[in-house]
Amino acid sequence: MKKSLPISVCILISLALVLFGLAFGTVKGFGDDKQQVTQLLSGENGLMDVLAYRGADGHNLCVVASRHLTDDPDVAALSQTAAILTDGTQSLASKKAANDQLDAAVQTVRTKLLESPSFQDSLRDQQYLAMLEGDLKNLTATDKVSLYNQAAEGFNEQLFKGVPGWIATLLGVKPCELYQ
Amino acid sequence: MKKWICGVLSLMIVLISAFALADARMPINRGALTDDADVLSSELSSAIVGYAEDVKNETDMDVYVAVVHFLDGLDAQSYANQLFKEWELNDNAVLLLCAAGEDSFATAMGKKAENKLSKQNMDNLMYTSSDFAASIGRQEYDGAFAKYFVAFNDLINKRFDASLKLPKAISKAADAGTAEEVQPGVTSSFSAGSLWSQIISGVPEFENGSSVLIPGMWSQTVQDVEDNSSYYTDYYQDHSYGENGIGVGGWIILIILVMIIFSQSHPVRRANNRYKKNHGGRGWLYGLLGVALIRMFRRR
Repeated sequence: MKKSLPISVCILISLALVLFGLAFGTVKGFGDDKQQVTQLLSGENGLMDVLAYRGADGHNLCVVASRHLTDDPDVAALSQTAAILTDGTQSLASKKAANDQLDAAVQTVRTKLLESPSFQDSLRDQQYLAMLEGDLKNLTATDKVSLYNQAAEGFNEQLFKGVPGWIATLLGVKPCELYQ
Repeated sequence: MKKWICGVLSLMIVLISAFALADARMPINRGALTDDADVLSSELSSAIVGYAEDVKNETDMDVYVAVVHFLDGLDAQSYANQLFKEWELNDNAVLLLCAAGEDSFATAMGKKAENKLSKQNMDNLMYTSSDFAASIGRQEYDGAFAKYFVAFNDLINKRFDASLKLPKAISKAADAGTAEEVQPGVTSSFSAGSLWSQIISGVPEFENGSSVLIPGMWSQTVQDVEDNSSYYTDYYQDHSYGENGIGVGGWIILIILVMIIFSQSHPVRRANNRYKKNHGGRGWLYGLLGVALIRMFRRR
């Protein structure tokens, strides 16, 4: 003779099952959404990579500039800014600050280079400067920042509204960091 | 204990540098020669590819040459090592990297190649056995690579006891480079790749200030960045926020599980037993009758 369960135990087990299902579904759903947003930030060719490529262009410009401007503080400043952008351990906020400074730093070095007689004589470095500026513009034109912020805001909005969002927050799903 | 600490520290340094190096742009492997900077003439490029094939046939060594404009903040050796890994080159491979915009270069090679040719010999090829370093400094790329391969061929023949001959285009370019006296900073009469020709002759800028001279590797990177964005946009065209929680399939599974659990409860068991007592064996009968009816209707 098989043992039967009291109805209260059945109700408890069913409730536990439903709660587990809800929690699992919510965490998995929000996890998938967050993965997509994270892919935009730190995935291959995501926002972090775009910032690193811009930093790399900054480094490359320093190489060109160092042929004409020796021990220049503005080249050193550009190099420092570029180093933050290429450093994978830096926070998003510090990368944003560095990225905001990058264009101005590039402009300062550019102005100095244009005044340098050796640079004026070097067609190669003039073209390299144009090439690097072109790439910096192309990278900016990808508009990765607004796309990422839009995606992160959309995710956070869902996370902070409704029961599923509340459950997800309770179960440790964290909001996405905005690029700001 | 000290060894253990040193080991952990070395591992940390390697990991940190791996993170720091993670974002340098690397060209796609196009075979024996990847001239992303487009600084080599087509004749010399074909000759290098042909020579690499000869070396492979004669010695089983894989020769690769990569030319880029810049190293994205890395030093030449780190970039070469990373490129060697990125291209998944084998133990018999030798990679010569040159960064045209930085006048720098390095060699990376696999273990077997290093055992056979030695790191010292390969470094000598760049700095002392050939005029490679000086020619790169003068931006004479055809001459630099031709001279490098003349010295490389001597080394290969010596080490493998082989009698490999250089293609004529390489010998010619090497001889031309030796005969010609070039002033530092002035480009010689060597023929060059199309992008390099544009660089040294100058090209007009567009109205927006951007230049047409964007290397293939950088354009590809921008394209890849845009693809990453499109992938996300496509994902959200088929999926919207708020679809989180249990789906229809999940609810069906849950209901079945709940029904199974409740079927094991006291009241349901009691009801079952009562039903069996009153209608004992009839369930099977009704089941068989149902199956027979279905078969009958299907035949008709």
